[in-house]
This record gives sequence, structure tokens and C-alpha cells, in this order.
Amino acid sequence: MEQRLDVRELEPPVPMERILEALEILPSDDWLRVRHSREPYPLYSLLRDMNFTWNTRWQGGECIILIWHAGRPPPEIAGKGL
Amino acid sequence: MKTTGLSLEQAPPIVIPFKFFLTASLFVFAVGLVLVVGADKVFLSRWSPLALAITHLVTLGFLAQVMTGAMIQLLPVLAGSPIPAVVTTSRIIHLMLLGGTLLLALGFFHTDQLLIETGATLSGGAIMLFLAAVMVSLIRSGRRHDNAISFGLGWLAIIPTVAIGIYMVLGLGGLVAVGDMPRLVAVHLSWGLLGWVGTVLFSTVFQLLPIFYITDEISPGSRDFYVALIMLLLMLYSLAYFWNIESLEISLPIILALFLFLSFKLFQSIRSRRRKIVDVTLLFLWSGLASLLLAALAWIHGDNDLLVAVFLLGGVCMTMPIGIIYKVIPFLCWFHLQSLQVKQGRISSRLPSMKHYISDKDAKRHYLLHITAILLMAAAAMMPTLFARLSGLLFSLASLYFLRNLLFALLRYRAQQKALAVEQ
Repeated sequence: MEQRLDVRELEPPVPMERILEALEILPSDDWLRVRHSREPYPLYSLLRDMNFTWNTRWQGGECIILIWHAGRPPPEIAGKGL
Repeated sequence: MKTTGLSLEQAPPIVIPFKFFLTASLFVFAVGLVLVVGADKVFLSRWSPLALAITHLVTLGFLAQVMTGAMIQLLPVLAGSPIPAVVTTSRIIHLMLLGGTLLLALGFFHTDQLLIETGATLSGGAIMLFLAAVMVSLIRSGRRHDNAISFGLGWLAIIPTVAIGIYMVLGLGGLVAVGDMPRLVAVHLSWGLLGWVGTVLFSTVFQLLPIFYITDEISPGSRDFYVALIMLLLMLYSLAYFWNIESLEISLPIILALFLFLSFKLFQSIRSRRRKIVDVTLLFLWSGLASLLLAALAWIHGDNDLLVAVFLLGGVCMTMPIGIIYKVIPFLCWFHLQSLQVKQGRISSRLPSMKHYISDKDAKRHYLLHITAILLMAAAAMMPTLFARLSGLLFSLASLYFLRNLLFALLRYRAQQKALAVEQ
């Protein structure tokens, strides 16, 4: 199931705090869809350390990041997301 | 689609930007000392050896340290790519820049040609090494960055600045013939202050405003256009010297007008921020923009070069970067601690807020000291006997407060880091 988070209007470091909080309770079959105003490069190192996989793309001037547990099928393969 | 990113091992350690910023604050202290010691000589003319020493303490001692240190730290954040061998490379750049600036300033202070030559070579070498390292990192990252053109052109402007600087140093030593030295100095200054400092500073603020203040974004295309136009006009201004075409000297007022226009765009962008809170970092930015306007007015009035220099060097080139540092340092402290926490397998245990590292109260005290010092320096440019020494004293005090704020941030970071290690 998709969990959604919109951090476009938040000042640093709140976007990263919100994303980490959401990931901490993310069920293993779910994924998080984040709407961001820019590509959050510093977040990626944390995601790797937390054993998550991610997919980033730009759509309509905003950055969409899909994050899911490493080892689980990516949302688009599972036919559930994107 | 991207699934790659920066690994924490590649991220520059936080001590790197701190080292550059702490050194920069010490150079500001040196500026204050020179003002106190040489109060009766500094404001004689902008050609006085002490005025030249101060100019280079500000541009190389403060600005080059802050700008290289910030870029080394921000490259991975903005572009996802650090400079190669970041610890060693940044150590070499820092030491060369530190030594080069000291020797150059001492050389001007004592009018010693050997010191000037060695200082110019060392600091010029440090900047070239930095540029090469950034180029490697951008090529390695393999992406096209929105801000690459404006930042790239801004940093490339330092090449003619250094080249003309070294040419003049050789001219002073009698090794090459330099025609009209005052006009060549004007070309050197224009590339350095407008081409390098001006465009990199404005590009940085344009880049950081939407991130840290959630403002409307100024399109990268329009940023690139203005920076490219400034570079083109600087080339024309240089041709005015080298080919002796006086009509091209009109380029300089056009560049100043462009910077005023960009200041207006920045001001508008700040006004568009979602949260209408005025924090002290905004006061630094607004004061920097106001100083640019005052510098332009003093320049149009035209009878006091020193006043223009005070507003540009002190008011714009020092005030705006300090505001940026006060915004960036607390975020870096928070981010590095958050990374450490995640490495320890903890995610959302709360870290202190960013205000913990540099409080609003401390930043505001520094702001008041700094602005008063700049105003006194402006008064000293008009009435040196009355205000020169006092402005130096206050400037030294302001720089010590800056140093204190940075050191406290580092100590608070270290204490938090230790607490996390104990909790593990």
C-alpha cells in the first residue's frame, strides 16, 4: 500500500525528519511516496544505511521519491505504484 | 529514474567547513587589527600598502576561505558529488590559501616583493587546485546540474583575477612591463569582486533561498543569462584596457546596474517566502543588499573610492556570506548527527533543533556588532582621524564574536556526538 508525504513547503531539516519518521513505521510491504521541491541528495546515504531502496524522478516541476524496503519488489513491478 | 546517491563515506567530514570558516573569522580579526594598528595610514588612499593588505585579507583570507569551504561541503548536497580525496585535497587547499594570504598581506604590509610573489603564487595555486578538484567532481557525477553554468562561470572568473594579479606582481618586481597600473588594478578588481565574488555569491544565495526559506525559485535559465552577460561585459571592460578602447568602459556601470537588478530579484524572492518570519540570517542578507545600493550611490557620487570599497568589501562581501554560514552550519551539524544516529540503528530519537548550535540571540549580537563596525568604517572613509581606530576595534570585536559562535557550534556538535556514542 502506498503511504504519501508532501514536504515541498517545509524548511530544512523538517522534510528529512518527516521522511525518516514515516520510514521508521513503514510496513514491509508498503512504500512511501514523497513529494519534494528538490532532489534530496543527503537523504540517500541515510536510506542506504537504513536498508531502503528508492527511485527518484521529476514530474511537473516537483521531485517524486518512491522509497521501499530493500529486497522487496519495487512498487511498479508489483503493479501497485507509479 | 535515479537510484544512486551519495554514500556517507563520500560526504566531507564536518570539520572541513568548520576549518575554513574558523580561519576566515581569524582573517577578519586580522583586518580589525590592521585597522587599529595602522588607523592613520589605511584610509589615506586605496593604494596605500595597508589598504592593499586589508583588501587581500578580506578577499582571500575571508571570502576565498568561506567560498571554497562552503563549496567543498555543498557540492555533494547540491550536485551529489564530492571533490576527489576530499580530506587530503581540502587540507592542501586550506593550507596553501592560509599561507598564501598571510604572506601576501605581510608582503603588502612591509612592501616586500618576495613575500608578495610567494603569497600570490601560493594562494593562486590553491584556487587553481580547488577549480581542478571541482571539475573532476562534476565530471565524475555525470549529471547536468541546474546551477553548473552560473557557478561555473563565476568560478572561472577567478582565473583572469589571479592571472592579472600575478602579472601585476611580476610588473612590480620589474620582470614584465605593465603600462597603466591603476587601470589594470581596476580590471583585476572587477574580475575579482564582480566576476568571481559577485556572481558566485548571488548564485549561492539564489540557490539556497528556495531550499532554506522556501521561496519562489528564480529559473536557472535566467540566472545563467545574467551571469553570462556579466562575464561578457567584463571581457569588454578588459578589452577597454588591453586595446585602449575607452568607449567600452561603459561596461562597468552596466554590470553594476545588473547587480542592482539581481539584488532586487533577490529581495523579491525573499519576500515570497512561505513563512514570513524574519530571522537574523535574513538581516545579514538584507543588509548586504542595502550595502550594494549604498556602494552604487557612493560610486555615482564619485569622490570617495574608499567609501565604495567599505560598502562593497565589508557591507556586501562579508555580510552576506556570514548570513549564509549561520544558516548552513546548524543544518550541517544536524545532518551529520542524524547520519551518525542512523548508522547506530536509531532513526527518530529526537536531536536538538538547529537553533541549538547557533542561537538567534548569539547570531543577532554578532549582527549588531558587525553592522556597527561597517558603519563606523564608512564614517572612517569620510573622517579617518575620528573613526578609523574605533572602527578597527569594533571590527576585531565582531570577528571574535563570530569566532566564538562558530567554536560554540563546533563544541555543541562534539558534545552531542559524544552523547550519541555513550547512548549506543
